[in-house]
Amino acid sequence: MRVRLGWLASGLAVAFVLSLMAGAHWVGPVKVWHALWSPSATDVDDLLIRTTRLTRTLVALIVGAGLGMAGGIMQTLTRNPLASPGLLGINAGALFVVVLLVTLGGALPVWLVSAGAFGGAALAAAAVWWIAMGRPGQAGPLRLILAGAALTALFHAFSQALLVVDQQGLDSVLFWLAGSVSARPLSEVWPLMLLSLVALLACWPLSGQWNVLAAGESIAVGAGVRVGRLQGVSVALIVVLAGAAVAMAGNIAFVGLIVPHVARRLTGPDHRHWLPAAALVGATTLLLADIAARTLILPGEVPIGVMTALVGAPLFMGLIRRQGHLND
Amino acid sequence: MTTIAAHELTLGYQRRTILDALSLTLPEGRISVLVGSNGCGKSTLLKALARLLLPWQGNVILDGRDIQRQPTRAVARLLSLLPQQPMAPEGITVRQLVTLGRHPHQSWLAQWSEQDERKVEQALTRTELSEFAERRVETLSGGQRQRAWIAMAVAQDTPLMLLDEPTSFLDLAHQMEVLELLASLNRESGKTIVMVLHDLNLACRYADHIVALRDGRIHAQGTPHEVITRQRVKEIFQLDCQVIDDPYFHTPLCIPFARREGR
Amino acid sequence: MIETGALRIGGFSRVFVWRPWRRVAIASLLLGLAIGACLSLGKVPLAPLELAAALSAPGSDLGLIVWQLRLPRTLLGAMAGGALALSGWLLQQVVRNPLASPDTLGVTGGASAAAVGYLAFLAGTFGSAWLPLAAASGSLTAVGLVYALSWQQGVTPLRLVLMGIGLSAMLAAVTMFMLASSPLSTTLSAYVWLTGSVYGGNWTEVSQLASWFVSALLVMVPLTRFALLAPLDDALAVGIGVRVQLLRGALTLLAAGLAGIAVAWGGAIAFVGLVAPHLARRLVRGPGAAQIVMAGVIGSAMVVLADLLGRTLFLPLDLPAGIFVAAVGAPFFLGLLIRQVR
Repeated sequence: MRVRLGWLASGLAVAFVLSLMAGAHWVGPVKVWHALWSPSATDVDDLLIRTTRLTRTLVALIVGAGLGMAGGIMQTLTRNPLASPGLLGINAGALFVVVLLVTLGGALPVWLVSAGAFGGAALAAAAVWWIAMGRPGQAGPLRLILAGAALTALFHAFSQALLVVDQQGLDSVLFWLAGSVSARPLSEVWPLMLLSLVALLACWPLSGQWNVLAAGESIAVGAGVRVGRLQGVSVALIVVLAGAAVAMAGNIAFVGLIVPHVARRLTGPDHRHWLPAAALVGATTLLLADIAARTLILPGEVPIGVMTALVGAPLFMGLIRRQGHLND
Repeated sequence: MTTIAAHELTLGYQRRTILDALSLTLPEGRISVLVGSNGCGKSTLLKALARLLLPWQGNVILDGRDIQRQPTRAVARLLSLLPQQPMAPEGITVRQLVTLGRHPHQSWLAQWSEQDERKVEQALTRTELSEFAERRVETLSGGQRQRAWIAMAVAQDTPLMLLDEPTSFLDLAHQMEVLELLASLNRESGKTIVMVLHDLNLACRYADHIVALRDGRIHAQGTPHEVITRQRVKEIFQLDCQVIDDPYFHTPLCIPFARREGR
Repeated sequence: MIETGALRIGGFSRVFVWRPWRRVAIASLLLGLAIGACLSLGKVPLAPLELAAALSAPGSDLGLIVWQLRLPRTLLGAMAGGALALSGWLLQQVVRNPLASPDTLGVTGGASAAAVGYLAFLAGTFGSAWLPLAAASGSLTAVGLVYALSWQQGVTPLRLVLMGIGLSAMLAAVTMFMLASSPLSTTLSAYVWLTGSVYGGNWTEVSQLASWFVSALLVMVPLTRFALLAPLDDALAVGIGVRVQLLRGALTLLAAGLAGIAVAWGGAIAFVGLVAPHLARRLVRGPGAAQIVMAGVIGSAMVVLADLLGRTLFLPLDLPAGIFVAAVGAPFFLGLLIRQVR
């Protein structure tokens, strides 16, 4: 397993470098090295790499890792292989509050909008939590997913309505809706990055308990896990990871859903390997998606949220077709 | 009368074969019970008989013709089915549920004939559910609910009834209640009844004909006395037992011992 | 206690349960009042007598306002709402879950992608006359795809929903891409469409929608008997002689058609298909014809009233009806979710 994780980490490193190289203007790896370690103040390439490319690369990395991890935790917590921040409406909730703040308040400080994203994520998580845990025996995959879909529709309807009422706000909000890792400077997003990193690291010591929880709530209680507290902490982590992801990069779909499945294929169900792998795969995936997004239709750029949905949705549908047990 | 038989039936799930070239003729106007250990294919056989599963090879013959080639509504007028743990639509009343059984007899023009009304009332009376007719199905107790499902099959008014474990999840008193109801339906209306049961002793008491399955084949069939012997039970369930004569009903009574070492 | 009657003439027979129809009648009366309010309220408010005068004199100034502006718009809203509600009712039967709606099966996603694509690329050359057709074909294509992708020796409700959600997400991404990459004016008009609006409805549109709506209803009437059986277990349904897959396909197609035409002429109005059938189920217990009619009436009333609020509450602004449907529908929906948990 350690070997596999090592491979995944090296894959991530390659994607990282590639992401610094790629774009409308390609830069060689040697130049990237120099730009990172011994930049010259006058060189345009160095400037480009150290500002825009480094920012979007770091954002993509953190957001991808956070979404992959959040998806994995949600799938364990709900015991539903289709749970993810996107499908269960958590992204949409965060997005809605962001839209609300931007349309009502206009030019608000960044921290307030970010806090709003957390608030929205927490709101949606609370709603989903309630639905999923209300009748655990009967929740069933269909009920939870339908509830999530309807919750998503609800938040989207509100967001759309706000945008129609306040048409000036539309332009400034569009990037949140479509997802983007390059819209904001490092000076604005670094606190969010730090927060995500802390949350990612906080997942580490919980893996063992999640392993027990995955076997069922009553079994976990029997094994001496304090289930209520573990669930509470897990939801908090999900809210932080998903909320920060939306606050940094807007709406990015399907990463939280597909990535944990890919990671599980690679490492098996043990959370101690699976979740770190999910974070690594998520980061790599989003880096690659971002590289594709900014090189495919030059000189334009595909919004990264669109990119992940276009690739992720067919994978999702393939996943469903392969699940033989979805025959009611 | 209506006859049902399986001819060289082979089928399974995905790539796993469950039933292997199984042939079987069930006696008319009798109660037949399918027994066997878990996974031996008895439920699969019942589902195939009820045309829920498409055979890979062979066929199910209803009244001399392949059941898959007959219109499903026509089949539904001859054969009713009670699946294992059926789910009722939300909010439906007992009467509405029982009325659903009339579906194969209705057309777009005739959706509530006098016969429909009469048969529904009869079914409710027969199953002693008249006083619960307007209750919602989900508010009934387990035994009442099972009777409601049987009432639906009774209203369907078919000469042949197939039931998949009609007594599972019921306590002993309710198991007896359901089986007595089925026995009286067989006695008084001459219905052919085919069901899967887990309890060997109840099977012996109520069955005219027992079909024992093992590994997708028929291991033995005949009267309870012929099938339920010490040797046969050992072969079917890999279980040591003593078979004695039931002192009241004089059917075989099986007293199980611990499972043999190493199967 | 229960007032049932049977009507039997020769081979024809029906059962009637009278009680629920009383509520349906009351609801229809309220719908009539709502439509009346729609005709008399607006920039130029009319008293009931004035309204009657205006209705009887289509050529007068007031007559023009009522006949050419308010009436077509109101009818459009009523039909779109009714069609969405019926579609939602059918889908909830098929999927056996009160949380299903036309949106979940990709109806709205397909229509939105097609409509936004049309607005972004084709509206410049062809004008907006073909927009409904584009939207309707988009929704039917999407549902067809969802159905085909779900087919594995038959379709199960669960797979149908999941595929619908997947395809919807993908179409939403396509829509978002087109929105993000087209000029802001296009984006704005697309957003109004996406929210759902019957703004500027005229008689041509009314007659187009009406002809489709009536055809769909004609298909629905003989299917009703089977639609009531759709929530049964597959095994039970086969047991009473229902051809499960055929029925599921037919009902899904019909639901897609109904929602498709509603979305085509009314825009992507959310929540009607979810909330109206549910309310109907609360008001008329037990599945049956009365419940279906109730759902349609409630759906119509929702959109008509939402449109009335949209164009009168913030005069001179004319806000899309979808906003108010969402404003009322969303809290209601949350309540529904919470109740389902209890």
